[in-house]
Amino acid sequence: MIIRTATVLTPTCMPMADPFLTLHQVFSPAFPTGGFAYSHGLEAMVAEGRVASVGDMEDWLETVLRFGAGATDAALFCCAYDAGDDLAEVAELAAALSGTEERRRETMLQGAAFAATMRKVWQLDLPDMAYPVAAGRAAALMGLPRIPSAEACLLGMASNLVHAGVRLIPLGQSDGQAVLAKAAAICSDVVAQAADTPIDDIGGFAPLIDISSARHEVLETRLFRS
Amino acid sequence: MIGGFSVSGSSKMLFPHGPANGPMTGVWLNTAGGITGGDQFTLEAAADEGAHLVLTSQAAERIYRAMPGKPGQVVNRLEIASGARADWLPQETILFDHAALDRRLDVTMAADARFLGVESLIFGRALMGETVTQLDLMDRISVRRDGRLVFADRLRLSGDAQAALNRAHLGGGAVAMATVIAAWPGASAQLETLRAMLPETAGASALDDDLIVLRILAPDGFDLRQSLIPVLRHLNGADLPRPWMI
Repeated sequence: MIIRTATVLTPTCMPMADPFLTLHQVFSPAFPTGGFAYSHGLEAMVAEGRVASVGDMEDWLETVLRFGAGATDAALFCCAYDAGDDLAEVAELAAALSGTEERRRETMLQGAAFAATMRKVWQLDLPDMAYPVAAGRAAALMGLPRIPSAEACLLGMASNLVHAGVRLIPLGQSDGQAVLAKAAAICSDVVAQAADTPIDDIGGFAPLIDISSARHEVLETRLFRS
Repeated sequence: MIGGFSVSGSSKMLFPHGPANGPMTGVWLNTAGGITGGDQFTLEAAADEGAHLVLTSQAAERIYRAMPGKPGQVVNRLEIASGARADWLPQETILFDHAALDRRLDVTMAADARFLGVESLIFGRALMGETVTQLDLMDRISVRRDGRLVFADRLRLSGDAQAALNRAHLGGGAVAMATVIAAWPGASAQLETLRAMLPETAGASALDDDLIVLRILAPDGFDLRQSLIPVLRHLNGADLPRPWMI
């Protein structure tokens, strides 16, 4: 008797697409990490009148990418990519690095949602971890190219934040895309600088971004979870 | 009682007499007057079960100009046993132009221990019109409670610090910043009170029930103290060690 079970996906039957297409899929803002729900403190900045225009949005995003979570996430991604099975240290650091409760949830819940989808679709052995660590490890497990994956991951984060800015400030869609186009070049810069950072030297400096995240926790009305 | 204690580099630790039932207070003194490139300082202290240890500095620490690639290195380690308490209350660290500092504060604490810590950074001496156009800073704080890393702060800033601080959404022109950590069972109950004490350029968050992290930005060191001292006094439940008040 022959039993056909064509609907069950296993690593052997999930066809591997061109790695560049796969990285666009998994680091696209459409990938179900819930990234659209987090503003990384931007909502508080807008509420306090600190971000009110396209120019402000551009400057805010550049600060996040170059000095804040952009720089640290890119370095965590690359460390996780290189870590092999030895992920404990980078996973622990990434989980402890957020200085506010909302930022901690932002990275941990996105990481958990990302890992769950990677396990389900590609059968990856990927535990729940902070998002950049889960992302870097997944890219390595799938054989996706290191630097382009880190860039795409960072651009995905930028894209979610631009979307938050478009809703909150608000901005027109083409203004949003103009901000994102500039952010793309910054993402490449940031990844180039972060690519070989040893785990002990991972860091950033964006105190007002940290502070806005703490202040977001007490905003009276909130559309976003961070 | 102090369970263990050691310092190296050009440091001295003074233990001024305090009230009979008060905490053991250690006042750190850098006899070299500051830290420059290539210097190495290590401080290790342990508070044994039930002990209360307070560590502070005699004066603000000055980080002088360093040759490129040779930062001053500072390693501080605190161990806080079950039921013990340690307060890490150094005065400000002043970063001069062309300063290079590689520093870490590693706190290892039992689940029911208490830790109150602060690190304040001043970028240049504003009163003297000095700005920090070149800096190489890597400043790490790690808090490990019951074997688990519960908080890691990693401040890294290289290059023109003043230009970075002048960015509207990074520092808004502030040149003074403090980070405060309050870790003890139920510490998060202080959150609302703390928030009510903070200026607009500060924020506090509870990372879990037993841990609060707070950042304060200020235009200069004087303003920073105006916001910081009431916060520390509240968390400390007492006045700050004497060197703060001189």
